[in-house]
Amino acid sequence: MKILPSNALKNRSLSSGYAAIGLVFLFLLLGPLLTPNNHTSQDLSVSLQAPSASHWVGTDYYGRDVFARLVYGGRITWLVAIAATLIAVCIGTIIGLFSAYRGGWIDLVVMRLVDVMLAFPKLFVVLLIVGLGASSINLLIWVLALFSWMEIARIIRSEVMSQKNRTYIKSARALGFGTPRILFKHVLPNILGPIIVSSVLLISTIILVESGLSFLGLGIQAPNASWGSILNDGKIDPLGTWWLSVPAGLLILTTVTGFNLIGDGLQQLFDPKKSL
Amino acid sequence: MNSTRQKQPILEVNSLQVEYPVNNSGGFRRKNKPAVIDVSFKIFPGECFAIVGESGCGKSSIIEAILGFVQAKRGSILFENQDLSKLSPWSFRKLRPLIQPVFQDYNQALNPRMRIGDIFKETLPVHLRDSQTDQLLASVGLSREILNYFPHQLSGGQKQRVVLARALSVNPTLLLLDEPVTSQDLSVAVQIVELLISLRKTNNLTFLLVSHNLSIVQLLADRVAVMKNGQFLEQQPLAQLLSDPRHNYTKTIINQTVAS
Repeated sequence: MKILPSNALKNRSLSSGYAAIGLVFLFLLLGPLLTPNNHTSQDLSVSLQAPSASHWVGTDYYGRDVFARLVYGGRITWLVAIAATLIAVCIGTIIGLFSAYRGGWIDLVVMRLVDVMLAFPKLFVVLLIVGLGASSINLLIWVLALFSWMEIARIIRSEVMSQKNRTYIKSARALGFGTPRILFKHVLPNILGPIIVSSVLLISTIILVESGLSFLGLGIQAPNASWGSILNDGKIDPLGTWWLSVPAGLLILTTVTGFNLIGDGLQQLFDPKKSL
Repeated sequence: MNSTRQKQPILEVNSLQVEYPVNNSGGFRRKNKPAVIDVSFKIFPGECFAIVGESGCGKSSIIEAILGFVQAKRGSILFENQDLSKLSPWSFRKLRPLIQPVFQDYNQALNPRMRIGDIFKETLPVHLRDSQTDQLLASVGLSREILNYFPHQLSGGQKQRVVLARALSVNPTLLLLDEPVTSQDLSVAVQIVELLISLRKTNNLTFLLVSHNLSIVQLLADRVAVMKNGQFLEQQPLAQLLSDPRHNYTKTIINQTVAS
């Protein structure tokens, strides 16, 4: 596998993607060591202060340190995106694998269900559910996952369709191996490339959706922060309180671009024919 | 031959018909196209029965039907007196190791992500793994060092030997040889045929050989069926087929073989 950093230097997309994500990761990892401030403690006497030595990225309306909020908010954004992606990939992989391998009416029913799910405008349905339910990080993760697995299932299905009539799968069936063994030991390792690529691309999609929801006040709730909710804090006077919107926006941009570049780079490595 | 005929057949195929769906009229009407039409034959323990015919005549469909990869439209396939179509999926799975295919496409016959050692680990019992692996490798003329290799690191001949060794690892009684040497160059093909002859003797195997090449069939087969457009034109013991072909198409195949 050529997805390790040492090999990535040869691929421009992958190396820039790794660099962007590496920088944001270091920021999230080491951030708490750089600031003594807490992300939830309020001090109205320092409300909406511009960046200074004591508050590197200024303060918000409640006098909370924006640097600390960017760090902890980013951790929550990443946690939600990665957890939702993992759940969506597990669901999508299992459904895609069995649907394609079994074929027949099972495949027909499952794929029509996927079509129906895909036909829903995802963001509005997620908005509705999150808006009606008691907002929590767990709910957000599950709702995002349950509306994201379909693309993965479709990709996995088409990959399994191309593998299942290959001779090595026929040989495995002829040897008397069971379906789970054939799927997980023989088919799955041969379609890992597309799964990894689509997972990485899904992370950036979910970060955007989560940021959008939090920006609208339906995602992560105060006193917790997420990059989307910090952007929301700065929306009243984007130019006057630029330290609220610009750094959060830049972090979202860097992360989403980084994951997309990694996804593109991996796509080029796994399947050079599909890259431009 | 007479002695083998008095035995119970290991495989008995009766009036087999296999069809594949074909779409025409832009996919609105589905029609079935027959690939195998009313084919019957018996294979007795220890013999090699060959089916000869041009590409697309339905030879491989017979193998696919025996393996249960395609459903027979009509007819029955009896293996050791058990009707395969009437077996439950579980019983068929238990019986599968006894019928092992060796496909033409040796490049795709091994999982590209598995080392050869891991491929053998899948089929051999843990306590006998080392000794049986050595025995299998020796029987197909391979050395132990290939166990660390991935399939793409092996030559065509080595891959086909690994495929044979893997098939033998589950102690089959019937090998379905689907153009086993067609994609190999001549020297490798000869080696594989010699290997098949010796394995048949040492492991007491029965072969169903499918090939478009009568020269290969001549080296291995006891009885031969000639197939065209999904049907058997004739089936005879090899010597009789060569000396007294009944059908013009058979004569053409024999003449082509002699000429080449």
